[in-house]
Amino acid sequence: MARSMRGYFLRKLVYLFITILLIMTFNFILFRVMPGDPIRLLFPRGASPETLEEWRHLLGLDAPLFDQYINYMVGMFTGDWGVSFKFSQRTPILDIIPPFLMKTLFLSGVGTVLAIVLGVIYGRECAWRKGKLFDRIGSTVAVVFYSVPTFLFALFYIMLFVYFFPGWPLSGATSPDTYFSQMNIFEQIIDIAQHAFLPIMSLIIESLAGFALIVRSSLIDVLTEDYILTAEAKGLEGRDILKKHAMPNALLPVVAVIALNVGWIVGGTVMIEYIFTYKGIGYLSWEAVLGYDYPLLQAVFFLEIIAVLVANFIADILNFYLDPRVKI
Amino acid sequence: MAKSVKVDQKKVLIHLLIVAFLFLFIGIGETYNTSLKVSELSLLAGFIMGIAAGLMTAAIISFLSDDASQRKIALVMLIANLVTAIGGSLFFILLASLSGRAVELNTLLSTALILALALYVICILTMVSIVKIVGEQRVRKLAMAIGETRSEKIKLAAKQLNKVWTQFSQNRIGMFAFYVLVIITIIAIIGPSIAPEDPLTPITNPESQLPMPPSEKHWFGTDFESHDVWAQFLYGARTSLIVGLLAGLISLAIGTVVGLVAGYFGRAWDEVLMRLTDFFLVIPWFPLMIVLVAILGRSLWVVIFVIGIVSWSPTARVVRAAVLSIKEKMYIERSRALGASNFHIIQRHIFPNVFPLIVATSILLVAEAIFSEAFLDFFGLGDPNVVSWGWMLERAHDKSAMLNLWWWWILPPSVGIILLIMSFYLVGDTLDEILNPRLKRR
Repeated sequence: MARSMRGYFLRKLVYLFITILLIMTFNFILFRVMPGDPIRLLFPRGASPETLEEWRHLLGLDAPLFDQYINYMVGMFTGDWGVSFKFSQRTPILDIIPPFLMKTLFLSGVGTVLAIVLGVIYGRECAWRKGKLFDRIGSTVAVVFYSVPTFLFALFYIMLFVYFFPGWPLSGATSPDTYFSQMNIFEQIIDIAQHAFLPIMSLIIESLAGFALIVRSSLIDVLTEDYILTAEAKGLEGRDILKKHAMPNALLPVVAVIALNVGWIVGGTVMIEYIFTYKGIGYLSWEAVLGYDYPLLQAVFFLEIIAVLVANFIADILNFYLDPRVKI
Repeated sequence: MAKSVKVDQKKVLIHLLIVAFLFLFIGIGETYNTSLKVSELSLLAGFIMGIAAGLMTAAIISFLSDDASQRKIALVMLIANLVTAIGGSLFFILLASLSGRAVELNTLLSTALILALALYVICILTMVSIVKIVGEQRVRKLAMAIGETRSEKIKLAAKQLNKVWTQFSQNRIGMFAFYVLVIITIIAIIGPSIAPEDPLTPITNPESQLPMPPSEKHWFGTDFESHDVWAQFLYGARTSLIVGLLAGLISLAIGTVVGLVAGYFGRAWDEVLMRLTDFFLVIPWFPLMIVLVAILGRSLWVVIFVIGIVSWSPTARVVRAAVLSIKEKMYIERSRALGASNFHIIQRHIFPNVFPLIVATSILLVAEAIFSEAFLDFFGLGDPNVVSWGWMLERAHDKSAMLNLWWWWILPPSVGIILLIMSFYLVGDTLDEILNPRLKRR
């Protein structure tokens, strides 16, 4: 069994590409089978037929279905993602998305890293004290956190902060522009951090608990293995065993879970951004749903899927690199 | 003598349960803001038709001697019953709607479907009891033969169930979660009948339109438009539970069928179905649900359907893996050598072995479904006419209840959701530990 990194990488890349093509097709079909005429939804009853026709033409909805499909696929690759219905007249979607995307990437990136680091530490400490009071309280808390929906956390945080820190910013990604532009760079950073604090705190807590539970159970499994006993017999200190022998093995399943977790994070950002009016991709999807802005919704949905697919791809590669048992 | 009394008690219990569930289901219609008379009338009509159909089936069965053809006829008749029941209830609801009330087609279909399902159960019950009553020697013999194997099986199942229950009741956390579930279920069933006010009728309050904190008259206070929060809470329990159970059921059914077919038939089936499963596994659930609900429209049934259709993939994987290992067992080979059909093997040998896995998974699925429903409602994609806990939170968020610290409006639905999800998780987890003992050593 030749284990060549390159072969594996290429194979996975081809799979990724095929999946993306499939997703695009799925996305195309999904928005074509919906009941009713999307153009009708957009305009009041009295709109002139010319306006309707013009928009129909602009959106490419007057072409035969197959042509539409080809146009859509080609457009997706050449950067023509269509125009938004509502979001200021006829703005190309690719012009709308970037600032929103940056905010979501910031939120979910920081959130994921924090969740992983804190979750692993949390799980490790619980597993190391298995059966003791710390572990019992710790894992109960983790289970509770794991089963509380993310958006409820956000609501509780808001109530707590309104009560205890009345001046704390609770919506938006920064202060209003008129204030924000007058601040110096440090104040701006502090402002951004202040605004991001609560969203990130609500975003990570569920995945943090999830990671902690997985690390805990996986570490407890590893700690019963024979080689841990051997290490103990060699006279290694407890913490050294944990660091050198147990943790590297216990973290393997975590890598796979991180990839799956990206899906949760994506879903989480939708809720969190909606609650905190944090203008990222999730907030955009809410606006798109509210305004029946189907092209925009389609694009946002596509982006979210791509994020998850790429995360899965990276996890596969990482897993291959870390775990010699993975077959090609 | 004592034995027969015992059996009777059980029967009474079962009937009571069925009646309770019927009321629960009819309640949907009520919560649905349609007129109660419509559902009552169609229920009555369906009830009569169901019994008539059941009688007919029983009569036809009793005139047939051949075992196989009997079964076929029974099956056909049952399907016919189902169709008649759906059609009949649809017809009667339509008739009722002609008398002045406009009923949406969507509502109509769903109410009819639920009624039909209820009637289906009634048909079967009628049929079975009729078969027992009809005095013909042949039928009695047959019924006894069926009855014996069946009672043997039931005894076995009861024994198994008893064992699981004993183990379950020793788990303190599991039992706590179970009690919470029972309490919430009771609230869901009787809640709307004990609710002091209608959740959607404002209480006239000349002093202010602002939410009022809990008082003697309104236990949980009132919301922005002076609705009673306690009443909304009671109504919401029913919606959350029903959506969770039905969506979980849909998801379980799809997942199980896909897993069984992919695992058992293998090859092309496996390839195609598993790619489909991977596809659904990869797509982030919430965005997909948002997109689907946005496209299909905002109603309770769309929400149930969407949650069900999005969340089946993990079940399919689990079931497929189990089927793959069971398929290789010797007794499957023997059964096939004896000429058993694929359907028979799946039904008799594979499904019962996969079943324990499914039970635990399904309970976890229900928890997921409740979570999803709360989220969709909160996001403003739920049915605007159905009171649910997510709907309460959405309205609270809309009116900035958090910023104004109207905690009595936010806490009840939040605590309800958390308790419901957590107890489903814990019960599922405990059952998983008992039924799939590989996990025990942890």
